[in-house]
Amino acid sequence: MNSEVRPGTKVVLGIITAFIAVWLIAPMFIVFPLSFTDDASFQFPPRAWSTRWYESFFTNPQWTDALRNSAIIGTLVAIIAATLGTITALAINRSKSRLSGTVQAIMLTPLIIPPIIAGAGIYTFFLKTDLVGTIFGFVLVHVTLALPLVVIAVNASLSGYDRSLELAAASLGAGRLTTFVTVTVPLILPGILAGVVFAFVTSFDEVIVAQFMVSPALQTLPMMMYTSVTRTTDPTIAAAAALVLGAVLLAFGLYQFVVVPLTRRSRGRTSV
Amino acid sequence: MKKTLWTSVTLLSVGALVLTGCSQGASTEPIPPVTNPVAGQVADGILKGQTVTYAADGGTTQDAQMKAFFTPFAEASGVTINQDSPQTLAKITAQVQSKNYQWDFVSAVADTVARNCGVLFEKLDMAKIDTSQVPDGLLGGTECGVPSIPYAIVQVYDTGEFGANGPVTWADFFDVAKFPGTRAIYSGDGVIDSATVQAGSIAAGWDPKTPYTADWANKGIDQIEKIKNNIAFYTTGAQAQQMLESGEAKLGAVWNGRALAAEKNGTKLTPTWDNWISIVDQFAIIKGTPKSEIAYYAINYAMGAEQQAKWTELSGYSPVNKNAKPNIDDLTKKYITTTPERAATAVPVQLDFWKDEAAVSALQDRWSSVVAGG
Amino acid sequence: MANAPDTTQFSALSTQAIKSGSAKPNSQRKKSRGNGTRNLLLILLPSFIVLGIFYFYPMLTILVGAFTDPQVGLQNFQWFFGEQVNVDVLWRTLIISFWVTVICVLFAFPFSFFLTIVTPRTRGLLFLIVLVPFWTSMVVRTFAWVILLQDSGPIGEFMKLFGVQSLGLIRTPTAVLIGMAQVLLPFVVLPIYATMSKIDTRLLTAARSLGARPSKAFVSIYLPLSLPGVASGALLCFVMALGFYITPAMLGGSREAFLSTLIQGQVQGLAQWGHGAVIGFVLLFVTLVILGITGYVGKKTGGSVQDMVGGSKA
Repeated sequence: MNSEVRPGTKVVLGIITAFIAVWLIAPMFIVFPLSFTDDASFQFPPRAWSTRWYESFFTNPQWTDALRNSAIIGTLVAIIAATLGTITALAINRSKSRLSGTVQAIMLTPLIIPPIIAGAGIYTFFLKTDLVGTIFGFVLVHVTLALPLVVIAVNASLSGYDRSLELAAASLGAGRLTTFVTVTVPLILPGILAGVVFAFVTSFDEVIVAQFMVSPALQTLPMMMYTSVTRTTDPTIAAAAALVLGAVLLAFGLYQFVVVPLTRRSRGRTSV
Repeated sequence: MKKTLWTSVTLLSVGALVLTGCSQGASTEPIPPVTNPVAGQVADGILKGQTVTYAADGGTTQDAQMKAFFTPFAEASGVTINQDSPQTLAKITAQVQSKNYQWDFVSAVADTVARNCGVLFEKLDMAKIDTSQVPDGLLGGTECGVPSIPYAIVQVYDTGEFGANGPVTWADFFDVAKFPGTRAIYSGDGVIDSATVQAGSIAAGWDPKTPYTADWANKGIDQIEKIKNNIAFYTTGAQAQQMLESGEAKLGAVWNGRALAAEKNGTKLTPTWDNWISIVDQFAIIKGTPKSEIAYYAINYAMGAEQQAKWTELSGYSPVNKNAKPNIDDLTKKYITTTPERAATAVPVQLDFWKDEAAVSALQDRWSSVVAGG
Repeated sequence: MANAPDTTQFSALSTQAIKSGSAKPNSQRKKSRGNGTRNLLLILLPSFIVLGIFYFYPMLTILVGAFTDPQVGLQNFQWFFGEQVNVDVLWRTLIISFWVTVICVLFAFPFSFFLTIVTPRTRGLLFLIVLVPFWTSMVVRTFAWVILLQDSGPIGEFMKLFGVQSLGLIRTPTAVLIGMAQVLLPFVVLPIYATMSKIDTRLLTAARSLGARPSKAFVSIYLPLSLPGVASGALLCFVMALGFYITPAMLGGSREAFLSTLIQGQVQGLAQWGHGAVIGFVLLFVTLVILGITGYVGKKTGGSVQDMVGGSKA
């Protein structure tokens, strides 16, 4: 649409953008080669190669239990937070109450206030209520941290009911009917799905509050990774990181290239 | 929508409770009291069905402790032993105050144990732990702990950097004009590190044969403050090791085990044992835990000669049993601290001074400002 | 391949109502179909219960400690402002957060602008790139920076070819800046793009047809129109940066400690709950003051705080 941008400017912008894009994503790929090092250190490039750190990951119950715990907690958090968050966003959006602005501000608090403040209180609270090291406590605390992101995502899709989306679709070459079917109808579904993903990632990545909630019987993957980086020089963390990253890329690919096209097609059918 | 929500929440709560319920089943079996303890021994299956939780610093030393002491202890006694880390004072305080115990015994640095003796840690019944084979000078200082790790803050330097003419005394260590380069120094992870401060005090002129005072401690911190632009503070042993290995630090006041680990990874270091600071980490039992008896069994077992030998082989840190005969290479021997030769030049952490809460809290804020200040 | 509804929906993520004026159909519907306050609160009861018990209650018990631990009084505040190191770290937290914000805005602006002028296909790809780090573990990403920036890392080894013996990046403010900006950039790109994508470029064409040079048209028309997005992205970035803990802890040394690091040290290492609480209190206070000021300014100019973080309620 900005046809008046001069080609020279566009090239310069392209170079800057490419640089930023590389800076954004390239660094994390270093965990893949590092995870195949043969050394017991983070030396890079590795002097020799092996799969011993993957072996170490999968044969050490501490790591595999942590992975399992994080997966369970993340999934439960995603389900509960998405449900509560969607209800919240819908209610706020549809309500004409004067309080709804305040309500929304309250809902977003956990995103803005540094989590360490609540974290320190949670330990004492959990000790009193016998919740330390329980999945139940872990999940509900993570739900509070994930709620704001779900609310934002769903809210975005609700109030995103505007020209910009339709324009965007139109810029893809969609006609009016297609625009309606592919943009307006599934409008809220992507919001919820995004909320699900954000909630899962929030939980799956959380260290600051988690350090007050873990117990010998309940460790999580990010906690294991964080203590591993700060307390040892054990490259098992690189294997763990590579696995997490691989899974994310896989999930992202699946979502982008399988789920989205499928949802579109099935939506298209039902409404026709 | 709401109904399904509640159903799912209820289901989830039930599920979560079921999931966690099994791990919290308390044993009702009475624990037989410890009688006539012999270091390193426990009656077969005597603690069957019991559980106990141990917390320490984590990392490689805790792994070694588990392998050398507590995993075999669990196999012999039938107890289930859980481990956790790090054993922060916050969590201990919260547990003691709420009387809800996640941990039963810990390994922590002696001055922390001494400072909180009787408040956060039990005064030990020494009849329940056989300490007859503990090397001289490691016992005492506090009624709440027995030695778990004897180690050193020792000065090491990059051999390639200074060769044979490296620093020798702590005064040399704090002399950046004579020996330029970044020093790796322990930050205490926010807590004042008694050993490092004492090293500074020696550089400032404190004679270790005379009593240690707040005045000397302040002079010690002065030394550190004076060279703070030449210091890279490490927070964990792993970091100290990385700093030495990567060459980021040319000198270090580091734990002997980490200097050893760095050498094992191919870094050439020279330790100078002149007035090295001798530190003891101690096993201590959390005040009021209902499982203190099991903790006594576990600690007594850890003191055995065989267990201590294995500990030294795994960790490179010294044994706390005179009869331990670890099978170790020359490099590891170089960093063993419990030999008569090393004892001759050792300066112990002055527990009598460091256990005084009031004296230390005044120094603590100064320490924080040197470590984290602008 | 990335489809437009999807990505645009994300772009709307952090700043819905900043596009003040475009989302009107929504608020009209609201009036005809609203529930009362009572209904609203009833529906939100489950969320409030969870938030209240598992977030606000523990947080308040800590904050109260600033006034009551170990005894009732203002001794913790005296301690905080009496110790120079606390004030130093507060300044450092503000300054590093400020520079992170500056870097993010400087990077996000051209990036977002570029997004508006490329083909939808390229835009989809670029959105994928912005979002992948958004969806991946911060611990993993920060760990990757530790490997890259350490002296024995690839950059360090590469620099040795040019005779630079020690890279000296790890445990410096620069390392913390690099790491934090990378984590926070998506939070700035999304709002800025959301705003830019709504700017009617015919205005620029009009200005030029009236004789303005492209650069002049850009500065006097495009830039002011994109400012709401920039402001909200910057605010979100700054406020989130204030509470950072993992990145400074992993990439910085003890002299890159943030206020969160101090809280950690006082609570975990020293069991000084009162000291930890007072630092938390100050951190919270600073955050709220910044939100308050921007909210006030925002109101004057037609936006509000919630708009900045994604509320659709103006």
